[in-house]
Amino acid sequence: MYRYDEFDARFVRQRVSQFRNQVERRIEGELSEEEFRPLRLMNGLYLQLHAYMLRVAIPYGTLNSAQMRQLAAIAEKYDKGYGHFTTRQNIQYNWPKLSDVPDILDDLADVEMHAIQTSGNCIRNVTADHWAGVAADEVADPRPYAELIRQWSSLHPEFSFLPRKFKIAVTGAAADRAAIAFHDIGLRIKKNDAGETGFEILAGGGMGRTPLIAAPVRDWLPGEDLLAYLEAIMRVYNLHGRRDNKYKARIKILVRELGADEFTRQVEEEFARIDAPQVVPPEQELARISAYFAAPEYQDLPDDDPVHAKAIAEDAAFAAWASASVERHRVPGYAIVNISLKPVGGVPGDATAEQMRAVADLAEKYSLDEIRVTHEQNLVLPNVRKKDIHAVWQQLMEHALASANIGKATDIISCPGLDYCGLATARSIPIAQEISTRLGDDARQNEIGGLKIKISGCINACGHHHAGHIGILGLEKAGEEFYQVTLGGSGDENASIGEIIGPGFSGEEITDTVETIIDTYIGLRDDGETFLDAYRRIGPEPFKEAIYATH
Amino acid sequence: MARKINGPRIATANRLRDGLVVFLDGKGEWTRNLCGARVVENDAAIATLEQDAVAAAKANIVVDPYLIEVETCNGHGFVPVKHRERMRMKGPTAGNSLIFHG
Repeated sequence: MYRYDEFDARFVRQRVSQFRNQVERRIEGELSEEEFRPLRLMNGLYLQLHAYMLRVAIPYGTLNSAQMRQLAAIAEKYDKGYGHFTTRQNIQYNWPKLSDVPDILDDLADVEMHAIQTSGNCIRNVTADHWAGVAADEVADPRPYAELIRQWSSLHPEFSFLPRKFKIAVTGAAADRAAIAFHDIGLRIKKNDAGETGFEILAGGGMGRTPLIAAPVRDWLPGEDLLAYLEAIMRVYNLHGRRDNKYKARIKILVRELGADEFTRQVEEEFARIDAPQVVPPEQELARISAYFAAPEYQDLPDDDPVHAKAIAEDAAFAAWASASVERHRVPGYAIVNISLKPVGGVPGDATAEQMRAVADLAEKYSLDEIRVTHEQNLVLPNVRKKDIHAVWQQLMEHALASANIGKATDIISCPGLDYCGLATARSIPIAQEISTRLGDDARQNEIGGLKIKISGCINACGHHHAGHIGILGLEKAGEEFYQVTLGGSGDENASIGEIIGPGFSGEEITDTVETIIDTYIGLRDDGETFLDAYRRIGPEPFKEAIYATH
Repeated sequence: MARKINGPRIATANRLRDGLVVFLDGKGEWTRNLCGARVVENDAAIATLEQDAVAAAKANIVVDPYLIEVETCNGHGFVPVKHRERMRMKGPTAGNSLIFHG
C-alpha cells in the first residue's frame, strides 16, 4: 500500500500543527465559531447533535494493521472505545473533545493518516472497490489511480472551494462494488484491444434529496489523460455549479440541467484547451505510486487446499460462514475474507477497539498486513491463504466478528441517524437493529437469499437508501418519526434508484412492513430469482397490495 | 439565534470544549441537566435569556446557542416540544455509546 514520502509526512504534520494552534485560539477566544467552523471542517471535525464528531479518511478503504491498531487506540484513549465505519470507507468517532483533536490528529499522522478533506466543499476521500488488487474479475487495480487522484486533489487550489462537496469512486472491474454510478464522478478502468489501460467516465450521479444515476461522459479515455480530463470536468462544474442554491449545487443538478450531451461537449471543449503536459504527472511519479501497489509476494500454492476442503466438509458452521464470507482471489490458493460488522441486532458499521485490534492481528498474521473497509460498512482481509481460513474464522468468532450474513438481509447499511447526526430527521440504528433481529435466524436469511436493505435517517441519504433493494428513509412529521419505503434500488453495474412504494410507516410498523415485502417476494419469485430480479420482473404492484391491504 | 417559537422556552447550546449538549440554568451556568434549565415565558425574560445565551457564546463557553420551546411533562418538569430537541436532551437511544461510557 501507499507509504508517505517526505513531502506527505511534512505536509500532514504541518496541518496538525496549524490546527493545534487554531484549536488553542478558538478555546482562548481569539477565533469566533464563525471563523473556526470552516477550519475545523477542513480537518474533518463536525459539531453533531450530542458532541463533536471526527471523520478520519481511509483512502480508498485501505489500511494496514498498524493503522487499524492506532484507530483502536484512539477509540479507547479519546472516545468511548469504538468507532463507526461509514459508507465512504472512512471511520467516525462520535465523542472527541475539541481540546483532544490535535492530539488525535498527531496520533493519526504517526501512522500516515489524517482527516483532511473528509468534510467541506472539496474533493472528498476517493473511494474504490474494496477488493481492489485481489478480485478475480479485475481488469486493473484501481488503487494507484485512486492514490493519484488523492494527491492531485489534496489542497488543489482551484478545487478547494467548490459549489458543494465532490465524491469520486473508482473500480477496476466490470462488476461494480464501488457504486460508481452514484458518485459525482465514477471511473471504471478498461483495457482496449491493444491492451492499453483507459477509463470509462461517468459524471453527475448522486443520492441525497435528488437521486440521479451518473451519465456516461466518455466510453474510453486513455489512462494518461485521466487528471487532465478530471480537471476539465471540475472546471465546468466549478464555473457553472449553483453556488446560489445549496440544494442545486451538486454536479448532478448541473448535468441534469445542461443535459448530458451539452455537459459532455463543454467538458470536451475544456479538455481540448487544457495544457495536458502541465497536468499529466511525470512517468516516474506514476511509477513511484504504482510500485506501492505491486502485488505482494504470494506463495506458489495449489488452488484447492485440502485443509480448507476438509474443514468445509466437517464443520457445518464454518461452511455456512465461508459460503457467505469468502470470495475468489485472483491468485491460486488465496481467498478474500469478508468480515461482517453487522452482528444480528447490532449497530451496522461499529467496531470496538478490541475488535479492531483483533482484525489488525489477523491481518498481520494471515492477510499480508492488509485490511479493507467496504462502503457497505464491513471489513475485508484481502490476502488469506485458503489453508488459514478456518483459523481466521475461529478467531473472528472469539471477537463476535463471524456473522455469516455478508450480502444477506441482515447485512444492513445504516447511517447514524438521529441518535447521533445533527442533520437527521429520524433514527435509523434502532430500525436496523429491529429488522436485523427479526430476520436474523440463519434459516430465514438463507431462505431470503441476497438482499440489500439500506436505511437513511434523512433525505441526505448517507445510508444509501436510494440504492437499497429495500430502501428505508426516516422522516419526521408533527413530532413523530415515520419511514418511507423504496423498492428496486441498486448500486451495482446495473444501477437503479428505488421507487417510493407509497405512504410511510411508523417506527412500530416498519419492521412488519419489511417482512411483508420479503414474504411477498418469496411467494412470487421464480426458482433462484433474487429479490431485485423479482422486483424488476413483477414491479411494485404486488408489494403495494400486500403492504397496504392490511394497513 | 432568532427562531420564532411560542410557549415556555429554555436556552440550549453545545459546550465549546467537548461539544456536549447543555442548558442555561437560573444562575447563569450551563448545565447538562435540562431539569435545571431556566424556563421563561414573558417577553422580557425571553429577551434576557437570549442575551445571556449569546453572551456565553461570545465568551466562548458554548457554541451556537438557541431557544427551544418546552412543555410540562405530566406536571413534573419540562421537556422539549420538538422531537429533535427531545433526542438532544436524552442522548443516543441506541448504539455502542450506551455500552461504552468513557
